[in-house]
Amino acid sequence: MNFKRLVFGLSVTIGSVASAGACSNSSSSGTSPVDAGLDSATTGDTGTSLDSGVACNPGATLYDRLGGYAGIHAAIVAIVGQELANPEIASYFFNQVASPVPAGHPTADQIEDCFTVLLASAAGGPYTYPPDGGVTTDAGGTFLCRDMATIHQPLLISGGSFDEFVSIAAATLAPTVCATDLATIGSVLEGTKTTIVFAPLADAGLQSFPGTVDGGTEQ
Amino acid sequence: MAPSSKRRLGIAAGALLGVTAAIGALHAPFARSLLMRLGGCPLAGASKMTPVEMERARHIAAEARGTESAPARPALLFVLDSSTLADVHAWAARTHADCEDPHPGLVLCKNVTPEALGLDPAVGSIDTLALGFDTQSRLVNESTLREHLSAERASRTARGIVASLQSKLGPAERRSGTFDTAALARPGAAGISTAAFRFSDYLADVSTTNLGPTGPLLREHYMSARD
Repeated sequence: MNFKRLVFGLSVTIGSVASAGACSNSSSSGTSPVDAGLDSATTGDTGTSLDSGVACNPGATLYDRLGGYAGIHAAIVAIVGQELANPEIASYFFNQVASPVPAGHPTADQIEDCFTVLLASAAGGPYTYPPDGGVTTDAGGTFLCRDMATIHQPLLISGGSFDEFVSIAAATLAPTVCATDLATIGSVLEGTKTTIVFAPLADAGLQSFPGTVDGGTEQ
Repeated sequence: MAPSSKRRLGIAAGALLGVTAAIGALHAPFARSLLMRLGGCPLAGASKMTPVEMERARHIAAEARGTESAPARPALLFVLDSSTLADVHAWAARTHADCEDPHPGLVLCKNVTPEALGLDPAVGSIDTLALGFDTQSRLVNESTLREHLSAERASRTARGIVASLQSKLGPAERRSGTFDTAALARPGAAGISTAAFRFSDYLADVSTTNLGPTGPLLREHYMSARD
């Protein structure tokens, strides 16, 4: 179990966040970011004696330890917020921050719901991805979550952008998810990087959307 | 319909079909690299973020803000909500920083030397510096990325940054990991360390991860949380 696997696993999260579904009406919303109630050891005033390690939550399955659907959804909401804080990564969410969201593109809430189902499925919860019949929102509407390739290939995601997204997601989860479970998430979802990263940009660094093969940014 | 009209209509329909097929083929996975080399899809440009949309993204991110106002709002050499796009362009020209504006409201700089940012040379270059601006062209968002670091350098630099922030802001609201060399040398979850500072008007984050083949990387993020 290594971090590369974690990277791959989180990449699913990542990618799903960037664009996830053909949608109809929905109004689902996330609450209580995962950072609520975090604990850490006291530190000295130099900041060099930071606490390490998070104990694994009790639970028979990873799905249980992550807090079930609600816990996973809260984690996803926190990740999306952190990704949107990054100016370069945020550029891949152009549809989600448009007003109104263009027809045929998911809202941020819908992406969060699709991503939650995806991770819940991978963590051993009672879900399959893409979910048959779509996802039912809090408001009662439904929308469809698309497969990984359909979602990501038009976004021309570079290897560097993928790594940056993963780094942000990992940093968001780390204070509340124990290392073993972080690695497990990765191992379950291993192998999605090739689906998410646009092959000609696999070796390119961090780019804003739309990237280019030469590593620069399209003008 | 006259035979000549039918023929012209047929030619036009055939041409339309051919163009449509060619455009479709260029967007297929096997031809995307060719499309990119031809300059990319011209419609992709319509999808670029505007400062208005970047502000929406920032406001969503700012929902993670704290309750107290920050005693200071460090952001490297710049001043959040004050430094302007023109200031940054002037800084880039003065320091010969390799910067570009990929879309309105965003400046990306590559391989920025510590001297250009007034930092100790020992902290090394920043591989990517991203600067986001609001609709009034004021700096509101800033992030740095250092890649391919040694574990020792990543640890030393990260600890220095966190110590500097804590001296100005007080203890981090959230933290995980130790930022120590031994942890950063191990690819995997053990290599993740974070420190997050949350105020009503300011967010700052420092994090390290070790992605295995690419080694440790270090991120800094400074953002105005003002409306």
